[in-house]
Amino acid sequence: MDRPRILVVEDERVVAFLLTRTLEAAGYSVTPCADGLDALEIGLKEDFDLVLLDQRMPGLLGLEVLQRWNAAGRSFPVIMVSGITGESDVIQALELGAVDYIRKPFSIQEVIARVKVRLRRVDP
Amino acid sequence: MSVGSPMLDGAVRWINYLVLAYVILMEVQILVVAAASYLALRRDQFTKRHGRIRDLATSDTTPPISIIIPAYNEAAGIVESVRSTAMLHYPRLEIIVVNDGSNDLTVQRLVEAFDMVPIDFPFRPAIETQKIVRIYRSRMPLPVVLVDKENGGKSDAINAGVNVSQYPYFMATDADMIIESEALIHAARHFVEDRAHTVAVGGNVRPLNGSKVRSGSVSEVKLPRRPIEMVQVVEYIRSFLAARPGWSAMRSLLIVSGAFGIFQKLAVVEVGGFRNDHLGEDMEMTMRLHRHNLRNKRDYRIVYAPDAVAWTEVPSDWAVLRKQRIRWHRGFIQVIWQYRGMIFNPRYGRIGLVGWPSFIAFEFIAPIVEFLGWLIIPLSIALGYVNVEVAVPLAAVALLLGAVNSVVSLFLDDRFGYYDEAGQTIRLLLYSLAEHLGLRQRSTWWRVRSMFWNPSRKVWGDMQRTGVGNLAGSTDSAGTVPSEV
Repeated sequence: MDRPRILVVEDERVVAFLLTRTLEAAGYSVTPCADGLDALEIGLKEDFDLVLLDQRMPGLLGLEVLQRWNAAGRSFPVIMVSGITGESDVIQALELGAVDYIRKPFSIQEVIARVKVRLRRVDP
Repeated sequence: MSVGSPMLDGAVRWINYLVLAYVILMEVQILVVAAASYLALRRDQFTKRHGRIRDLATSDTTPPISIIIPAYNEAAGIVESVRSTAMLHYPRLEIIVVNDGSNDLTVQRLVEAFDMVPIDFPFRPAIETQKIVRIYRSRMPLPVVLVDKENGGKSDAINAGVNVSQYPYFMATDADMIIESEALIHAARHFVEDRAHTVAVGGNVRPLNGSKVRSGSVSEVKLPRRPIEMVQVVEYIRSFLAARPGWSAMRSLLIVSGAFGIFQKLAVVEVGGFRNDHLGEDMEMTMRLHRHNLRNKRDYRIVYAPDAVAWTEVPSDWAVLRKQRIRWHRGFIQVIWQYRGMIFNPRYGRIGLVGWPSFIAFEFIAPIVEFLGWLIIPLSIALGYVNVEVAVPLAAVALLLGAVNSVVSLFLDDRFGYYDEAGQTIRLLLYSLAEHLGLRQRSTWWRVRSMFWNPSRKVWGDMQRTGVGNLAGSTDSAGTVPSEV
């Protein structure tokens, strides 16, 4: 079986690097992306088993990316990552189809654990 | 021809011979240490071949390390250096930036880049420092802590970092240091192998000049262009490959470079932390650890890890280099003065009887002797005081041994494969020979000049005000690296 593909949308270079390194070590195939608009485009063209989506980003906000994917009929299991802890954001993200929501501060280990849980469920 | 009495003639003649003999003795000592280095490096290579080093990177038993970066007015580069430190390959790290009362945007830059928030952080003030104003933590999944404190100098900043650190080992480094991705793993190996006894591990500092850097790491190692940089490459190679592995193997390593040294936190706290009134605080700490542990008859290790490599920009103009070297040598003189009680003191075993005296003989006294030599010998030959048939062969032997030593250290470096191309090897070779016709004399002169200064005088008010970054330009990060040791 192919390795599950994950799109990591994160604008801080080091966080993206650490997520990529750790996820790859855990056996996933990772596509990193640092900009909201780029993420939108990649998501329109390619399929992923999971998307880690940062809310605060240059280009487009995470929620906006999610909205536009929905409008284009693209849907992936998305885990939102955000520093904005307002409840309305969480609800909005979940309504747009996000499967999980990680609030900052979080650790790389927490992300990995949530990714694993999610992808286990997706596996038949 | 002779001018004075026969007795004076004889005295002058013998001074000449003694000077030459001293230099020859020094070169022989360097050669012996280089041989010890060769054996140590070969043993190291053998251990590495079993490939267990990489396992350490993923092992839970690898000791966690706190990396302390003291920063004084480093707004321009601090974010990038935290980024590159965070990307090091090591299982458990925390990065503690200590802002030493900067008056630029050091704190703001970090807070913005890493989404840092003030936290109520409990810590143990094991070493007394200037007041800590606030502690921040990143809300990103990065183990980055920022300690904002009042200005107190580099050592004070490191001590504050030690107080705040959570892990049992720490490394104090400079913002402009580029650490190789696996360097910490190589260094930590020694703590893993002998956790009970290892109190400090020193790394291999190399000149960055000429190499290419991409997003915080060295992407291509190349030799620098300028002669002043080349001679320093040769010098660093000699110090870090021909000397330190040997001294380390003889358990007499007297310097763990401040820019790349990992210390057991308890050991440093036990001796009271880094001293603020010191120009060579890294060597001073190493000597203090030796003295403390030897006095208490403990079995301890201070080791050198040649594979733990970090790169630093070295001075590229003579004025800055001169300033740096004078500062190093003065730091060294301070250390000699402070630890004079250990010289030939059997209580301090191999360090007191061999390591420390030979260090002083060949690092402190040798420059004086050599300087006198450059003055006296040509003069004496010209005036006919000296039997040319004796003096010239002796001088030739001294120079030849010097050249042999330079070549030997290049040979020791070769196994690391940084400068593999034939052109690079030839340039290194030429410069290591040319070093004896230029830099060596200059640095001898600088060392002699540094001595006209009273080491017990307190002149460090200045240093504390200027803080970390400005001591001798930002190019000063390798710490004390006397040329032969």
